[in-house]
Amino acid sequence: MSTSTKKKDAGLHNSLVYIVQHWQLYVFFLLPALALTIIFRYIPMGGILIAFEKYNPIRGILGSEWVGFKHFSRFLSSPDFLSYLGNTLKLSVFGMLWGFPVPILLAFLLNRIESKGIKKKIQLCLYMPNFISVIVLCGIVRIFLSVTGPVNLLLGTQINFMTMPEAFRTIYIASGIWQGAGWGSIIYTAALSNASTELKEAAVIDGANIFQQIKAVEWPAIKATVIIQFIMQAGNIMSIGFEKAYALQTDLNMASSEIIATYVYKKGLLDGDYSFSTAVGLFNTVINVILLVAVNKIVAKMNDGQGL
Amino acid sequence: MKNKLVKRVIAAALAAGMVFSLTACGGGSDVELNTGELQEVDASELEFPLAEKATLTGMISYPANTESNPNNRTIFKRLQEETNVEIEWTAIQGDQWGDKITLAMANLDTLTDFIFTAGFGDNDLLRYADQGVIIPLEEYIDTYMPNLKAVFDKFPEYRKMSTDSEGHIWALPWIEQLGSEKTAIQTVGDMSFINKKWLDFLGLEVPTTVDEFEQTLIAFRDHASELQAEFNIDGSIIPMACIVNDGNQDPALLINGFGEGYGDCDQGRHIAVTDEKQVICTATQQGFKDGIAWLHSLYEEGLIDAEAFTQEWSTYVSKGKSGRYGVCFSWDVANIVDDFAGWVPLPALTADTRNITPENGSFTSGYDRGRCVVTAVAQNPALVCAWLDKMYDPFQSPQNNWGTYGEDDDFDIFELGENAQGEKMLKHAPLGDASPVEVREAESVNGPLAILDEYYDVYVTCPDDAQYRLDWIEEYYTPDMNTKYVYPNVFMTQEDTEDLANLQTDITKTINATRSDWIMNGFTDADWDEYLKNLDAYGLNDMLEIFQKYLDAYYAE
Amino acid sequence: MKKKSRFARYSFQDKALLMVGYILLGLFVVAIVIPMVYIIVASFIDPVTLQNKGITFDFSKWTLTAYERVLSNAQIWIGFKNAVIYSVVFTFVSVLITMLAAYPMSRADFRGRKFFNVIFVITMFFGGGLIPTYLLISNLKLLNSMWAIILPGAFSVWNMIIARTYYQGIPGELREAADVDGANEMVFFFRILLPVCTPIIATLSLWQFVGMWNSYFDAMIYLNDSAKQPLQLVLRSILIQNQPESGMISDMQSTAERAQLAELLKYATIIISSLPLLVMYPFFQKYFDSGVMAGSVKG
Repeated sequence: MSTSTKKKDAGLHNSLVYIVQHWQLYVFFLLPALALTIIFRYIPMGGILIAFEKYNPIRGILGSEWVGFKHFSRFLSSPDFLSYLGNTLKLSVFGMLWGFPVPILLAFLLNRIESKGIKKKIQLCLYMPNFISVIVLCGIVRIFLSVTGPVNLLLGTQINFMTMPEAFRTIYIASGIWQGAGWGSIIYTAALSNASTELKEAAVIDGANIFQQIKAVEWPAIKATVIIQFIMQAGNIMSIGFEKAYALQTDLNMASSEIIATYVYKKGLLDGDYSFSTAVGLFNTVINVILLVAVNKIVAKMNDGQGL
Repeated sequence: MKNKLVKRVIAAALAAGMVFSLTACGGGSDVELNTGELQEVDASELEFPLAEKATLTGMISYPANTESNPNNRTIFKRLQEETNVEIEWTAIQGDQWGDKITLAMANLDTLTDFIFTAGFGDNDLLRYADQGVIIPLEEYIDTYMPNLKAVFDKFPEYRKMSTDSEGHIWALPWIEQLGSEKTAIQTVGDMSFINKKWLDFLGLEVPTTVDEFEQTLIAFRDHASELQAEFNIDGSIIPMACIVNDGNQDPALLINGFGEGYGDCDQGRHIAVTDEKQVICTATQQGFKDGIAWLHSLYEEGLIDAEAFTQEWSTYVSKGKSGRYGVCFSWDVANIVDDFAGWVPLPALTADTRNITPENGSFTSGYDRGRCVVTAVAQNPALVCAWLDKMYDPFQSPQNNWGTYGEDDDFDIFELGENAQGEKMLKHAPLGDASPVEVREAESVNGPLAILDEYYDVYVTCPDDAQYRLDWIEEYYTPDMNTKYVYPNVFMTQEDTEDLANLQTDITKTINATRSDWIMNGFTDADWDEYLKNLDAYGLNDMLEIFQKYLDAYYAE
Repeated sequence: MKKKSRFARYSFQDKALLMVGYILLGLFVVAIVIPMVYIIVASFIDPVTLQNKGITFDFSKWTLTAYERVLSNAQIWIGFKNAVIYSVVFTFVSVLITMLAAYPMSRADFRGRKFFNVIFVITMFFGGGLIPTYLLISNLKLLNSMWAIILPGAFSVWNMIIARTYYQGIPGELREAADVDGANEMVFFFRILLPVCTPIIATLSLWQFVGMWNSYFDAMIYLNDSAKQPLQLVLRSILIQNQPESGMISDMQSTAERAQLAELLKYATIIISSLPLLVMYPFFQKYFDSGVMAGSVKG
């Protein structure tokens, strides 16, 4: 009652004092980002309403006819919905499973290379694939995996990889790792450079083997980054973009290559049906948020309270 | 405590977001909108050239790497002089058109009076019509567009095809007649071609039945090394090349003769019309089953290109250009091979019967319903329509479509000549080294137009590449066309268009995937039965019913 | 006395472990280099030969036609110039704003930290979508302006979080030293903190630059002038292959020709669009490895 209100007043008072004292923090440091966020992210947010409407540009977002959950039910009741959902989840979950550790391993290995020259050259090679666009990547994949392509020549076979649904996931994930692992290791390399060299020397002198060194020195340096990356990726599980899957899709591997995004692209975007695609986007987002919150809680528990 | 705070913050943020967005994105803008009712204008005000210069706005697409300002094109310069109407163009590069036009149609601030090269599908047309973004034109056509009206009067089926179920015409069409009925150039899309040089070299005749065809392919395969030696071919011999499920590169023509002879040439919808005016699904017929099984046997024997299921057009062409093909499929073999003279079209193959099913919608030759629309933003629709009517002038249409004459520099598609009556006529000019495509793209503007068969040799000569293809059709394919009806180009209601689109996505996907799978891997009777069951589950009968409904209506009038 | 190489000082077990690791690394690098070499070589070979024979090191078959075609295309140079301008401006603006914002967010004493955190993180998942954003840009009269593609994406919450994490990893002694000297926030930030953040600045700069360099979608919908198109957009219009549609003969021919051109130019365009990035990269490289401790706390 009176004590708590006094506390609250004190708290508010303290806050105001702080803000005035540190006004630079707010006005100079935070404001640009905040302004951009409000203008370009929050103002268009009203557009989510499109998902519940039959959008008509003449009537605008507020004036269009309200259809409630019609788009959602259309999406959820299509006969293959579960298959699309499953394909999407499998791609991202397995993608994460296989793809998440690789950049970390690369960063560890790179960190231990002594010769700066070699290290730089290797880094250059690792980062190169990232500079290619997705479409070009898929073109390369198709060329290499074609019946008369290099992979088949090497193996002496005539397997048509692109027509096999079983192969699709591997192709998708492996090419993703090929393209992104090197680039993804940058963030860990940067964090590792923070690792105190003195600590490392000390550990070595103490006779620690590699694992102990890693545990004592390198892991603490990148732990925070790893956690954040993990949580963020988990929260993006449902957001696989359509471009790559669409480019790697063929008539014959649809059983595993038709994901939510490609289905929506064909049904929604090609017809200019923004309401439909917004609705699916919203659906995706909701699932992502649920996953994100869940993963965050779990990780926080394992990490004494430090999450996103 | 923390949770409550977080929740409160989220709620506040979202609410704030909503409030902000209400101010920014609410409602339409200050643009005055046309409700679509006929706005009458005195005919004298529309006489060209106008007494006072008028300005209209329009949207147009142009091929990449060509002139980006439409007003610099000779055709529009001349039109501006003739009419005293200046057009402020919003020009969008062709390869970006698809993505950008839908956005443009959603933003009233950037919408123009008309969209010259809209090319909208039925779904789009009806949706925009429903939203009120485009206006109905049937009254304007009758009152202010004499050229187009004349075309409709000569060929009432075009008017019928352009009118929706409620009597509205929402767009001005593009019409390019090249032949008609069974001689129309569109009747056979995926034409089959055979390498005559190889046949002559091996002492073989052009096959006339499916068995002879198979033997021919086998001969190609078995004599591969001799062919390679004789013709200096780099790379392996491919007896039959195609791209399954890919438009004109699909080998559907080969199996036309199986079963009752319905074939399966409509790859988007897989339908055909029986002589009793019934709509059937071609992919569930006995003929389809037998035909696919036969194709599979060809594949098993290594006679079909292993890459036929996944390759891209460019790969297909590269291999063709190196002379490796025995049989190939395309709109025109000139696109695929370098040695044009060594190839001939392959006529129908007799299987159980002998038939070529003309493609659906082809009897009315080239027709694009949603080519040009007038939007709700147009303040003077009568003027817009009158201006657009100039495009349907018989002397103007060929120019818009193909190119023009009399440019100071560069090559022209046409030169101004005379027809037999001594009146002015556009003659296709020799191009020397210049690529016809490049010249066409540099000069033509597309958009709404009508070129009728009766114009040839009166207002314009027929283009060479069209002429020889028309000749091919007449010589090699028309005699075998025993089918009476094709599915016409009907204009369905919005509801039916949507339902159909939904049904088709799944049905077509299944059929095409199955085709590929079975040609490659073969199939059993059990597979066939399950396939039929799946199609039923996806609503095949509903789809056929919709098609049937409109077919009946079409012939009822 | 020459220091014994670190590697030699490892125990046998560790050496073996590292060897395995290095071999895997080596394989990974090889798996990257081979396709890259393939692309480079393929850009010198005419597509028909490529299709039939695969790549060949028979130099007589090599040709520079692809490069000639690409480099003589004025539009490509315009696109190049635009891409450089957009990427540089974007990187500068974006990294600056992000690094600024991450600073207060990294301080435990910052009032309102949780509040702003929530505000920012929400935007990572919820957004209005294409249409409302497009309408907004149109209302702000930014259509056809460079800022339409720079401003909306300039502040990346993800990057801010990473920068924030980095700041938090910097030892507190730095701050204490500055307080002792009586520095205010801005001075502290620019004079003391930033110089020590070179790895993260380099990382974010590289990310943002590459991101902007490789992007085309925003440029496609917001920029209409062909003189404003960035490189990726120009390349895309060369490479797009649409299947010929039946019935429009002129379209048939043009699509066939364009498809062949696209095939010829495919590899050369890949090289041309990636080359600048590869050239730029070593410039950033040297910042990745500089540690925080170097030069800041002595003794």
